[in-house]
Amino acid sequence: MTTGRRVRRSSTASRVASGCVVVAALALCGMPYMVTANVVQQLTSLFIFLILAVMWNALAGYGGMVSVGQQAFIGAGAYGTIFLTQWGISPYPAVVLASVGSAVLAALLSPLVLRLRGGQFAVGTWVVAEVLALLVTFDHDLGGGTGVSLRGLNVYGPDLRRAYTYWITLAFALLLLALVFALLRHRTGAALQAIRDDEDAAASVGVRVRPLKALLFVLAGFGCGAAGALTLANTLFIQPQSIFGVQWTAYMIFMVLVGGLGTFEGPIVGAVLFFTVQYAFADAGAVYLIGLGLVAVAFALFLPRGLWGLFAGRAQIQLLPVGYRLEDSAS
Amino acid sequence: MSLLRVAGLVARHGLLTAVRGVSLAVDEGECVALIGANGAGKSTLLRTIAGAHPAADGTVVFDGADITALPAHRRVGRGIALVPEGRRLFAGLTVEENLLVAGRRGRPGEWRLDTVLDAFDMLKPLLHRRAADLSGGEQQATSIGRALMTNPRLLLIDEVSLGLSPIAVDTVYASLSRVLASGATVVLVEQDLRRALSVSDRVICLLEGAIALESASGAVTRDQVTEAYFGIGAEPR
Amino acid sequence: MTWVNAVVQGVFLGGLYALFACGLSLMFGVMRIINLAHGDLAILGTFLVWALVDRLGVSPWVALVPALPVMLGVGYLLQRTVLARSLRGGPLIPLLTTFGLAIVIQNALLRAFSPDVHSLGAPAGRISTASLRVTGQLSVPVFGLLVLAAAVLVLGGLHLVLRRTGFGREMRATAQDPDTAALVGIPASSVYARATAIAVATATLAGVFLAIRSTFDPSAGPTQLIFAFEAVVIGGLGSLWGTLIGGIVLGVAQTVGGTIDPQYSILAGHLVFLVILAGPRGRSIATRSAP
Repeated sequence: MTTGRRVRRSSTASRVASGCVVVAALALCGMPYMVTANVVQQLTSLFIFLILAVMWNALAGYGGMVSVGQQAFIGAGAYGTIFLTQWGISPYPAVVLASVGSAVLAALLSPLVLRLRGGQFAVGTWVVAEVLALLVTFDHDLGGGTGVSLRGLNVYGPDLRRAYTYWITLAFALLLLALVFALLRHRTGAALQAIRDDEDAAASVGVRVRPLKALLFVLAGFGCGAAGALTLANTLFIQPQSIFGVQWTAYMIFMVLVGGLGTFEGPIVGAVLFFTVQYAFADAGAVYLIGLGLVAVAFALFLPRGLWGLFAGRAQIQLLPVGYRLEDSAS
Repeated sequence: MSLLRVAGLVARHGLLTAVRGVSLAVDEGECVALIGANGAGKSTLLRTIAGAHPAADGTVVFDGADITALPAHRRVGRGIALVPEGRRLFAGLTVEENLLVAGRRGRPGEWRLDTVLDAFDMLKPLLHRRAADLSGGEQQATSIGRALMTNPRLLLIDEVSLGLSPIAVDTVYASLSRVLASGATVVLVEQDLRRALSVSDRVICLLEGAIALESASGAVTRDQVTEAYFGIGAEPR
Repeated sequence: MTWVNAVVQGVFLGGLYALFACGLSLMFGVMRIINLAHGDLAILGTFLVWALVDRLGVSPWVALVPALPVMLGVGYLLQRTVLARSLRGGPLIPLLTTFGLAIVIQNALLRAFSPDVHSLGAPAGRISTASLRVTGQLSVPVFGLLVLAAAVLVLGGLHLVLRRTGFGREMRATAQDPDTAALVGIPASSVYARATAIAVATATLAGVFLAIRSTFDPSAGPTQLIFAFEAVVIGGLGSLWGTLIGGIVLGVAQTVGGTIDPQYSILAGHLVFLVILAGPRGRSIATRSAP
């Protein structure tokens, strides 16, 4: 007597959830008509955090690359936007072009930094971020060390401007989530997880490690560049010390670790949680950051799969069908 | 009383059970040969006794004390040393350093750098050679010498002659017989059946993780071994 | 003459970087982890010395006498508690843990000591400013010589310990194969703890030299981590003498760059690092083995 089994990609829960995602996305599009401009601005920064968390998770959670230097691309995106607007391109197209520019920068840098692995990669990317920050401070056209404002958005009224920035941020967030989803659904998903678990072993069974890692690095360069450009569009002013600051990495690590490293849903949970925490405690300064650090260390040591890993492990639930499921079939 | 007493030992590699309920005892001064096909669980059994692999069930009692939960490095202090499969020398260290590094944490006793070199005189001219640059036989001699430096009361040797040239095997066994003559207690894994029977007092054959045969080395017949080794042969055809 | 002077200054500065780097290099060699809190631990130790100097009015050298053993203990306990657990979690966890730790230390220092910039130059006395005149235009700072001598002593001492002592052999054996080391009685955890202790203590020493030479503040750690890392990579991973050379190359690059234009100083160092990384040595970095 044999029980038939079949491999399935989706479950009832994941089909319902996928439907909910579409409904939720539509609802989110309508937000600017429902809430005040101030809330719209807050939501924009939530989606920027979301982009960052998803990108950092793609690097570390799927590619095994712990980057401490993604602020290089955040800054590149922001300053790229400034640079392009100074050449007469209007701000929103500049945001998109600067994000693509960040991806190109990542592609150019990847042969260099991907020579490094583990902790060396971590500090190596950090050096890259420091170099870019220094170069920007040397350039007086970009405001040098004192910072620079984004001009050209005042053609829109403040409410409309915030709504536009919100929509473009939402579009980037959904696009990047879809890209990561597609990567995981595709054959590359399994290969990526093999790389994360053991790069050498993955290489030995024929996974082409380098191109896949480079692909993730470029994707993260694109996403982080977009996050930087959108931060600029949202706040209208940037300084090299803060836009190239390593605190971005601290935020990303916190979101991904608490949400769930290497899970698709984890960074989303982490971003929402971090946004709430940031909103409530950011005024506490050093104490707040001590708390963030301690929580991150605790999760790394005791709950490396994060809150989502805990929840999904208990409930056997995967809302978005990125993996494979084995189930008994009736026939 | 036996020096080593293993009861109901179970060891797993993930979902695979490599050792399933092995019980055996080794007396002081005895030499036991462990034989069996590839994958029979010989290495895992030795590694579990040495503490290099966790026991999933059962007990390991050494010199009257239950050491099942003791980490490997603490078992060395009690007097258990393992010569691991593949020799596993510290490749960047010289022969002398490989020997000396083992002499620090073991028990005091007759085995020191000079006595080990007397037993394995082939190593004398190689003292300052990096372990990575040695031949297989030289590596095996160094690895056994390194284990001896801890002055073990029980010496476990995994795959004495695997990958060695016939001449190197002879040399290693010549030195090993000097060690055995000094009254050491040894459990060794050996693929060469003739060699295993001639050097040991007792032979234990493992089949799929369990003991299929246990006998005095002098009294065992070829058919018995074949049957235990492959789990076939006794059935009438 | 300015150029000769710049190179001389760079060599001394390189001694300081090598001192920061040797602990990082040691921990990487033995445990295969990059401690992202290395710079912040150095600054933590420096603040301990500064607090002793400030409260008791002693010289920094005297304050080092109790501070170094305390920081040895800090490193030992750090490994025994946090790092030992993180090492069991796979390759990513130690990085995430030490980064979190860096954030905690940095902000705790900020909270305890305010963001003010401090220096130990004045309490160290005349030695921090004295110089020996070699020729008419070239004078050598005594303190620079002292730092370089200390770096050579510490790195040379570590090298001798690793090569010549039983403890050093145990450390090298564990670095190469911790499982087999356990089979000859060496507890990896205790070797790791001692390596971390040495790393944190030497980083503290480097931090104090930095504080006497110039200034420090609670957020100075990451920069020192980056310089230390650059020195290690430039010098070739896994060799202590290489680390000294790497530190000196980095130091000279910074001072020569700074002679062209003060704002190019740090950038020049980064660029040398990136060039080395792009060169043939960069290819072999990821596969380098233990000391």
